[in-house]
Amino acid sequence: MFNSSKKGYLIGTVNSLITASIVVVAVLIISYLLVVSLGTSASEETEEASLQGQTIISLQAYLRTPVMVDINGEMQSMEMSDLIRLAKINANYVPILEKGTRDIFDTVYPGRYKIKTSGIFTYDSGSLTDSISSYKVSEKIALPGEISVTLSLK
Amino acid sequence: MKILFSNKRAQVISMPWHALIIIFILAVIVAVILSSISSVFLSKQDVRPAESVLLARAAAECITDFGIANKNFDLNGCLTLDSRNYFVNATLYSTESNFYRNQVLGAETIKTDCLIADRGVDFGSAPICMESKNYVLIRNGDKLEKGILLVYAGIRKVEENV
Repeated sequence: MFNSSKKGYLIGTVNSLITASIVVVAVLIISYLLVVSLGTSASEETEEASLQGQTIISLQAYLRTPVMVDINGEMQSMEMSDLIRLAKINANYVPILEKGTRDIFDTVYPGRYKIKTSGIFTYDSGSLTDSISSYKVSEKIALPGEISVTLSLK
Repeated sequence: MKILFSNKRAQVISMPWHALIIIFILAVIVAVILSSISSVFLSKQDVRPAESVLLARAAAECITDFGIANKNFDLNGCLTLDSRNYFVNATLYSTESNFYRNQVLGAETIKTDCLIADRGVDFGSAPICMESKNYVLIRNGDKLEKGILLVYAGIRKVEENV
């Protein structure tokens, strides 16, 4: 386009038209994708917002759930958050923690929850039914001793 | 096109065409962008799904405090609803005892309409309903019991579906 010769001018014009056509097609594709993504994200966001509220309340209740734990032959009452901390120190308590956790969430969210306590245990109730993890929301609560508990729902 | 570009006169003639093509392309781009934006931001959006989520969440937060549900909850203290167009049904029950409490606010016919709509029956102003299920603890004397809080929230539409 900037060449002074006729041939150069012709090539420049053709190149400009090709470039412009590519730009137009690209703009059309981007606009279409933008519209489609905005259109579908609204319903997904609604579902995620609903699940998020359930996750927060359920995780808070889970951590405060009372459990009876045998410590040196004596039954002690404690909250689930204390049992998590205990299991972090002593791995013998992990099976009790895992069973207590599954008893709670298998009743409320069967097959659609995943719980992860950092470095202690992870349980994915949906792993048997889904090959790809599709959890929509996750909420994490930090406990003393660099422990965090994450509940995911779908 | 080759004839037009093959001599000096043709170059002079091609200039307006060239400009017209560019203007046309720009017009197409602007039209596409405007139509894309308007289809999303200017079209009628049904906000009731988001509203029903907020309603269900507000009811659940009204009943619970850091995961512990108030056994004697009263939604009237937290939610002020237009009883013709809104509906909330909160059910709290223990999985360890016989404790059960249910409270309904608003128009109960909304739930019936939602059940009809869920069965695939389409009618002009079908309401939108949302259900949330939460694991909670219920204080029973000094003891905390495991329980479930179900909140069913529905919103009727005054205008016809868009």
